[in-house]
Amino acid sequence: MPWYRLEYTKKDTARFLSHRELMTTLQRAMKRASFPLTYSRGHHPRPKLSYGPPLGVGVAGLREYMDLELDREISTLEYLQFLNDQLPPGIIAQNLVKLDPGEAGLGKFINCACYRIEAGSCIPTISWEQLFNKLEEEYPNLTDGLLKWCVDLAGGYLEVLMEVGQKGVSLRTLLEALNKGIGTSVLLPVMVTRTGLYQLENGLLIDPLKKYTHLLEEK
Amino acid sequence: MTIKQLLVEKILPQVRKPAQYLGTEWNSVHKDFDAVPARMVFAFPDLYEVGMSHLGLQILYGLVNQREDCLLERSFAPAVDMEAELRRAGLPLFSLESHRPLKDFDVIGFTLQYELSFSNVLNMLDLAGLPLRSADRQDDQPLVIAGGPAAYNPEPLAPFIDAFLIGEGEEALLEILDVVGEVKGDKGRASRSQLLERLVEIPGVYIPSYYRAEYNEQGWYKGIKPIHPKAPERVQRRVVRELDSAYFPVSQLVPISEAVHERGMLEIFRGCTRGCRFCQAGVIYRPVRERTPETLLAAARDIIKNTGFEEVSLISLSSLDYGALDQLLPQLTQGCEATRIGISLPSLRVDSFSVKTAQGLPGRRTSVTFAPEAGTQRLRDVINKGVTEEDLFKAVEAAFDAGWFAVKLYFMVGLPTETIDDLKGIADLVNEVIQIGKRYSRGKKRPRITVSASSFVPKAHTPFQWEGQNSRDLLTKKHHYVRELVKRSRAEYNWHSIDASFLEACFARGDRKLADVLEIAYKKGCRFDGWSEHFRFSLWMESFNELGIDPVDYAEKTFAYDEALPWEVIDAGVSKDFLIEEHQRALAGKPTPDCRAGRCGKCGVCPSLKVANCLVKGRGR
Ligand code: SF4
Repeated sequence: MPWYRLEYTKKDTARFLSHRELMTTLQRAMKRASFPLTYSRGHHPRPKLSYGPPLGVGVAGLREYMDLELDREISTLEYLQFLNDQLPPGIIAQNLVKLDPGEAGLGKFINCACYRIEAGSCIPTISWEQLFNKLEEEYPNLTDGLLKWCVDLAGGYLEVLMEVGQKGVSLRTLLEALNKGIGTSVLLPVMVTRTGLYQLENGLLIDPLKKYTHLLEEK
Repeated sequence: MTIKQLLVEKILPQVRKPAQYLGTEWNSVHKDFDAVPARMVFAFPDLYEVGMSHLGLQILYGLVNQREDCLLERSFAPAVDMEAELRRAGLPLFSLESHRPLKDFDVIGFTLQYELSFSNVLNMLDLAGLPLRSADRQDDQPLVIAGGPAAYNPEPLAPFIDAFLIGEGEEALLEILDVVGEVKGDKGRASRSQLLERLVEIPGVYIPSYYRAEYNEQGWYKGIKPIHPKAPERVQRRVVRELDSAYFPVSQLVPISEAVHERGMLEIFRGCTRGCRFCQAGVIYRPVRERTPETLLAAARDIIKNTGFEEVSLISLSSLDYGALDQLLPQLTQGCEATRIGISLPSLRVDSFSVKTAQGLPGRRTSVTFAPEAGTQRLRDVINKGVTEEDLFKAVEAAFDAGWFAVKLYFMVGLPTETIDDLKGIADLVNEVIQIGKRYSRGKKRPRITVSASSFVPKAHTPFQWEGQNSRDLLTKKHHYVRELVKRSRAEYNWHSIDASFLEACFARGDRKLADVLEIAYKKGCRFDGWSEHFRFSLWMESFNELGIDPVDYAEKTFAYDEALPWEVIDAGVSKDFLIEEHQRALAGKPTPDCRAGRCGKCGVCPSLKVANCLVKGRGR
């Protein structure tokens, strides 16, 4: 049976959904939109879906992915519309493409993620660059998994590209370190957005729909 | 900044499970608030995850929002962390749909599912920025109403609630909202006093401030008198006569944050006439009114289509008693299997037929629950639970045979006339169930038997309403005794908090004086009393002490038949003579048959409420 890859956005108030809540919401929306989902065999059939790395509560995602197996081929444009008609506010289906047989699943494909961390109205008194230098002293391993970062002082945000999986530092640790570095005991009202998920290979960044390819510059 | 903006930017990032405060559920209804004349918020005094699993909410939400001139939004008790954030930020409690303060609504309607949510009612009023007591609220502040099973003894909440709606809400709530719209007219606000003058004319509406409770010199409740010319002596409950044609929601709210049950709800019938003598639901939802298989199949189809749920649950007090299962189930199963929808039954009757029926339904089922309630035939006759030992053993055999090795057994401890033999009987039953399990366990699979025991709580309007609860000491000893015996047979034994059951007993049969206790306890910090992690019994005891009220006088009180009962201002339709007779039969160990089979047991409900059992016929099996 054919596999499809869905690209979607989780933003605005929908960013407060947990991974599980989001998956249930997407799954029910697909049922309402009459997607011919393929189910596993056995006593408790479940739709055959696979997800990219989970997104935490409160974190938005601009380009997130889910793979789904369907019982038959569908018109992707038509079904993309059906799905959008059934999604609650803040969740938007962006693209739906059929995968080539034998194409790597999301878990295998994705190995890095790009996050944008905004400090909102609470821009720290020290510059992001100073902060980062300070953090590097305190958390020697912090930047290990960070492949690249860029700081936009005027925009008040930090963008990081980091490895997903065991190797890299977790987003949570990074945020904790940032909080500590700024010296606030309360959690900084940051807005975190995952702007994309990629495969990094030989210095090339490829997105799961293979629409873009970037050359990764040095950090 | 609006409440919504503040929430999103400042508050939601700080709380657990923030999605529950968004109001973006599929099938939620968002109307133009300012364009709708009669606006009500349904206030559920427990967490989102509990309230969203509640059928009554789904029914009233769909029903009211269908009307163009009304709107019904939702508000649940905020979790403890959310309450702290709201108070810190000085934000009022809001509705989920429009994120408006509760104060902006014309009506705030609480549903009272259990006594242990009463402190949350006060907390929600306070978070809404309203004075707790009706008498202290301004005339133009929202009307506060309440309904649900715990409203059948409204007295402990009397000073806080403007009007109670007793019984089923489908018709009466719309009548109330009509009056609200009319009285309000084009004024921005309706006057509460004017509203009450009109609402008193609606059958089923009880306005506590129109009555004065009287007490004797010892402080015992003596009776209640109307002090308003229009207030009826007794308020009769409302009942929907024709359930099959009544409104039923098919575009049910789909929880966006995790809920206890996430499934489509198909109410196959209402009412249960089995007549268990401890059971309040069996009284207050009489008689039985079944929906036809055609109606149900059509509703199921739409629910599945409109929600995307993975499961549909057949809801009623005893779903396997439905008269046309043989017409409903095959077709429903076929439809559900095609779309990979599971079908669940909330509880199984204790017999093998039930198990076999459940086995035939699609969906995941790993455990089964049976409720024999008492350990011996004698005591089961006393409570009129028509279950024999053989029924139980056969049911359990069928369950093991079906491969369900997790079996949960419900019992009640502290029932009237209970002796040590009855307690031993529980352990004997459990033991035998385990022996059966051993015979069926194919080598590796061991049966897992869990015994879940509650303590008997006497409830208003039941044949046991006169009976006192066992003392807490005695209940503790009894539970320990059974646990020791059960442990020997290597089953797990859990029991509900005895302190919580004790408090429940106080309020289930309490009078207006308990309102003061409730208010003090609330102010001391009591809330979420039904949740063991939040229940603070010592604060409750302090509150009783401060007022010189002994809670034991309430929980353990045995009433005489001719004594005034605080809840008698409510007429549940069942006659007092019937309840006395049932109580007598209980003490004599005489069972009373179910009137569903045809013979009227003369409980009084049908003639007094002008209703009748409404049964659909199956093709016969
Ligand atoms: S009046 Fe008779 S038929 Fe009606 S509910 Fe009571 S016992 Fe059953």
